[in-house]
Amino acid sequence: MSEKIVITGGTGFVGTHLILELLEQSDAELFCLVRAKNTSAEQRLHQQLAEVIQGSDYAPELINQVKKRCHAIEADLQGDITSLATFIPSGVSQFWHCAASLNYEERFAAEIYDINVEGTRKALALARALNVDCLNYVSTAYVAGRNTGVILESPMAEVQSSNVYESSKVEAEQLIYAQQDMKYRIFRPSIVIGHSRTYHAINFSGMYGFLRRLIQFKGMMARVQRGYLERESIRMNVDPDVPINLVPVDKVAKQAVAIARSDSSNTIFHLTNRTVPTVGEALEVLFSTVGLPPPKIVQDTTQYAWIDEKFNEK
Amino acid sequence: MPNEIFVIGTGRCGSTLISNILNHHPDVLSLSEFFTFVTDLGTLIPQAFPAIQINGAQFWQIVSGIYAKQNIMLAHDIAMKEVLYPFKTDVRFNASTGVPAILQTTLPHLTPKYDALFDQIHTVITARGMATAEAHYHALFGWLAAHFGKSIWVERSGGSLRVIERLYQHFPNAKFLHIVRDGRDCALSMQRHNGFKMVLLVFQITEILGIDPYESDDRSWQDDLPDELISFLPESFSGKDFLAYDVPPSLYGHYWSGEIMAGLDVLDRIPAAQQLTLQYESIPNRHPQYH
Repeated sequence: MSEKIVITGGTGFVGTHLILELLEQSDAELFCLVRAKNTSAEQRLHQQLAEVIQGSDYAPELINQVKKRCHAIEADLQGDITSLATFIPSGVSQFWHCAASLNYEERFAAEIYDINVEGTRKALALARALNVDCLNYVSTAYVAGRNTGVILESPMAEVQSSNVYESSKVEAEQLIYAQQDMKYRIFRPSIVIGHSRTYHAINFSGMYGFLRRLIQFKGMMARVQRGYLERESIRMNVDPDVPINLVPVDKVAKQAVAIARSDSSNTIFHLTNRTVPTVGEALEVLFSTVGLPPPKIVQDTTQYAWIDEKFNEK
Repeated sequence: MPNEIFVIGTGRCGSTLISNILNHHPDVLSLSEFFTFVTDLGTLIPQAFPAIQINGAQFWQIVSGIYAKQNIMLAHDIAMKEVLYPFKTDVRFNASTGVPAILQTTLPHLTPKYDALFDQIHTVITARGMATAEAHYHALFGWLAAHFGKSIWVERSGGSLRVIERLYQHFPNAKFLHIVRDGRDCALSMQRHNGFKMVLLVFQITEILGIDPYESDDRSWQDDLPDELISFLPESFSGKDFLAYDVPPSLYGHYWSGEIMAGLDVLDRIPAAQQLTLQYESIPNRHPQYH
């Protein structure tokens, strides 16, 4: 009898890659908790996985395994999910909790808390009801908040979070440490970017969110004063030599699944990249991607013009 | 055919003063803020100058349209002071019904019997057949000039440098009077003007959403909007937040520079005999209301 795994957030950036890795690295049957939107939960899940297979370097035949072994269960973390235990066969060994809100704006605070904290509480309750052996939680390296220096793979104690997203992930981790019903692993990826070889990505979070905002800012200024940003560099007060940890989504998924298939005990894992660019290098690439000259690095913000303040306020 | 003149500028450059002076000339028909409102504050320029032929009824839809941005300003009592239609008291059109573009300023600027004139124009324009926008605009302005017994019409809209490319394309024989005012003073004056604030807010939101939120219901990218811009979506508009929102003069400064540079590019292509540039500061005895 094949292994059974439950996964939340299976249509997300990391979640889709985790599913494909689980399909590749095991013969498990996957029960994916998915919201139905314009299409059914199953259609949505399979369409998203098909897109990721196409955009990554998985064998196209993997889609047959998706159809055969990936079962969608319609669910919404903001609703009741504990009762879904009756729809899932017994004998589930592992539970992957990937679903999360990646918003960070204050106006989404209630929703972020509901999905990230209360959603994790519900995921734990469902895992408990299913009597799973181990819960794997996809957290974020951003639980470190404003802390500096070496961040250990250990529970976060005193953290000053930068936004409600970060604090919600800290609180969600705490819920997992506090329970004693099952083994757990917490994965903390750094800034997740597209596929390591194809660069394929399916959302605008993290670095892509910055890129999108850069495009928006360029567009807004083109409406106000066409050509200005192409002539004048935006000033930024950053340390260009600081490394910025970007990790490709396929590497995150491969590492996480490999770890989950080992006999690790209750542990936290930082899924980060050993070879990283500097902030200066990353900014140069991002600005050039949208057709802008590289930013001018300044020593302090007193050298900012209004336009620099406007850009840097985000 | 009447002589055609456009008074153009960046906005807040003193062109209203010129328009009001010209309004006293017995031969001049002063068309005030026509293109401001027909383009919904300069945000629907291509729509106001369709490339294909349209019939009179379709052209009437353009000039008498009840446009979202200018009318949400009436509804929230933050109308530009250029609006002359008594939208707070009139029973025919008001802040609830919305006021047609040509009635916001242009017709009340010409006559106290603006509603009757509106109906007359409606009859004349909707009877027209298929024609280019250029022909319809000439017909409309020509009819108005004849109606008032004038031999010259002068159209002036705040910030009309933004539409000068289209104006020259549609009125290749018109003359252009370019009013220039010190950019710093323009920027400071724009900062006190609700119309320019509205335009810059819409620019920001449009770039973030990828659509003009006043023309489309698509909110796919609404989560990208920063908190401070949510109050300026039509469905959650707050006049109080609008008044409290501070657009820095620097952004208006950039706007002024952009308008001047783009406008001068077009003016370079217009024969010298068809254009005159006047410096606002050189106009004597400027009235304080135009500062």
